[in-house]
Amino acid sequence: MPQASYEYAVGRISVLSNKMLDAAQLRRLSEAGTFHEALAMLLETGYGGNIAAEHINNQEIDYLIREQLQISRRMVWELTPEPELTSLFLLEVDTHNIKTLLKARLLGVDAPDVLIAGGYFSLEFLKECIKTKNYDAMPDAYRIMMNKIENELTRSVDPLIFSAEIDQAMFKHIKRVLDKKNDHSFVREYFSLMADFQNARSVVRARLMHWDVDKLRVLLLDGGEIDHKVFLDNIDTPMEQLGAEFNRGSHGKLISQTVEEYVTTGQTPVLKHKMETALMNVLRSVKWNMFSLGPIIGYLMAREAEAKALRMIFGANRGGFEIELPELYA
Amino acid sequence: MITLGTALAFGGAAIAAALAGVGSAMGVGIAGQAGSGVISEDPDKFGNVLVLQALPGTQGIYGLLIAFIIVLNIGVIDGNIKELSTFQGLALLFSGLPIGIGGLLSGIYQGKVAASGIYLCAKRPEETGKGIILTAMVETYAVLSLLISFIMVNGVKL
Repeated sequence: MPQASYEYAVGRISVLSNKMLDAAQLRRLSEAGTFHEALAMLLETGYGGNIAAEHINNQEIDYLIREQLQISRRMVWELTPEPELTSLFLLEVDTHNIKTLLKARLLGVDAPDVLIAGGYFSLEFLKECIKTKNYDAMPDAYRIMMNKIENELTRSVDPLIFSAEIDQAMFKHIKRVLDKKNDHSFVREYFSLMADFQNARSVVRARLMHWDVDKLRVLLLDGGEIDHKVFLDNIDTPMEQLGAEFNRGSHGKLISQTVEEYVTTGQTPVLKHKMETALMNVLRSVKWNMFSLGPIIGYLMAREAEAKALRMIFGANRGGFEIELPELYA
Repeated sequence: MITLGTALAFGGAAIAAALAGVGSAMGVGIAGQAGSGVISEDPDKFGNVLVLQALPGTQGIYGLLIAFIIVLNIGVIDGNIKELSTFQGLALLFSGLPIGIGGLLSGIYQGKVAASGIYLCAKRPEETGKGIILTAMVETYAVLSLLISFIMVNGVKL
C-alpha cells in the first residue's frame, strides 16, 4: 500500500510526469501525414505500453487514450493524501456519466461506449442509482438535485435544463466540501474561477440565444466570487459594457478582458480557451509547492489535457482538418 | 554525589543529542519518503537518492559529538563524575542549545531541500549534483551551531 504522504506522492509523480508528451511532441503528432504515421510516432514515445501500431485501428486509439487516462486517475487516487479534495477534480467525469446515463434511460438505450470510468463514483453505482431512481447514497447536493430532476422529468424533458442542474449539483457539492474542510488553497481558487468563467459564458450564451432571466438562473453555478445577481442583472446590458460589469473579485479583470475580447473578435471559442488557460495558470502557480496537493492535481489535469489533445489530433487526422492544440500544463 | 550543576550539564548533553537527533530523523524521513516515491517508479535512481537522503543525517552526529564531549568532560565515561557548580552546569546546558536547536531546525529544512533535490534528480538526473549542492548549503548552519557549541563547551573550566 503506498504511503499517503505528499513527499512520496510527488516523488512518484516527478518520475511519471517525465513520461508525458510535451508540447513539441504533440505538435509533431498533429503534423503527421496519416493516421498510422501519427500512431507510430505516439507509440514510439512509450505511450500505451508496448503495443504495436499495426494492432490498433481507428476506433481503438480512443480506447488506448481512455485506458491511459484511467491508469493516471487511479494512480492519483491511490497516491493522494487528500482524497476528498482530489475527488473534486474527478467530478467532471461523474457529471458526464450521470448526464449520459440519464439521457440513455430516457431514450431507452444503453450507452456503454460513452461512459468513462475513473470518476469519483463507480460506474456500477451510478448505473444503479439512475436505473432505480434512488439517489439516497449520493452526497446531499447530488441527492437533492437528482430527486428534483426526476420530479421534473415526470412533467417534461428538457436536456439543457437537467444538464445544467447536474452541473449545479457538482458545484454545490464542491462548495460544501471546500467549506467543510475550510479550504482556502488553490483548489477553491480553481473552482471559484471556473464557476465565475462559466457563469460569464452562460450570460453571453443567454444573450446570443435570447434566453430569459429564468433560464439563465438555472445555468448559473455556485462557488464563484461574483454574485449571481450581477449575472442576472446584466442579461440585457449592451455587449460592449458586459465585460466591465464582470470586473469583480480576484479574477474579475481577466473575465472582463475575455468577454471584451469576445465582443471585439466575435470568436466564441475565446471564452473557453481563456478559461482553460486561466485554470491551468492556477495549477501552474502551485506546481513547485512540493509538499502540497498542487503537483498531484497538476499531474492529473496534465494527463487530462494530454488525452484531450490526443483525441483532437487523431480526430483532426481522420477528418483531415486543422486544429489548435488545447492548453497544456507543462 | 550528583549536584544540581552536574544534572544541568547532563541536560545540556541530552538537549544536544536529542534535539539534533530528532531534526535528523525528521529530515531523513522526509527525504526518504520522497526517495521511495522516485525509486518505486525508477529503481535505477537509488544511488543518487541515497546520497541526498543521507545528507540531513549529519545533524544527529553533530549533536552526538557535543553530547559526548560534555559527558566526557564531566567524567561520565571514566566513571568519576565531577561535582559541578550550578553555574558550571548552566554553562554546559547552554552549550548544548546551539547544536540542539540549530540541528533540529536545519535537519528538518535540509530534509525538505533534499526531497526537492530528489525530485530534481527524478526529472533531470544529470542535475543531481546541483541538488546535492543546494542541500549541502543548509548544512552550513548546522556546522555553525556545532562550532559555537564546541567553543562554549571547551570554554567551561571544570
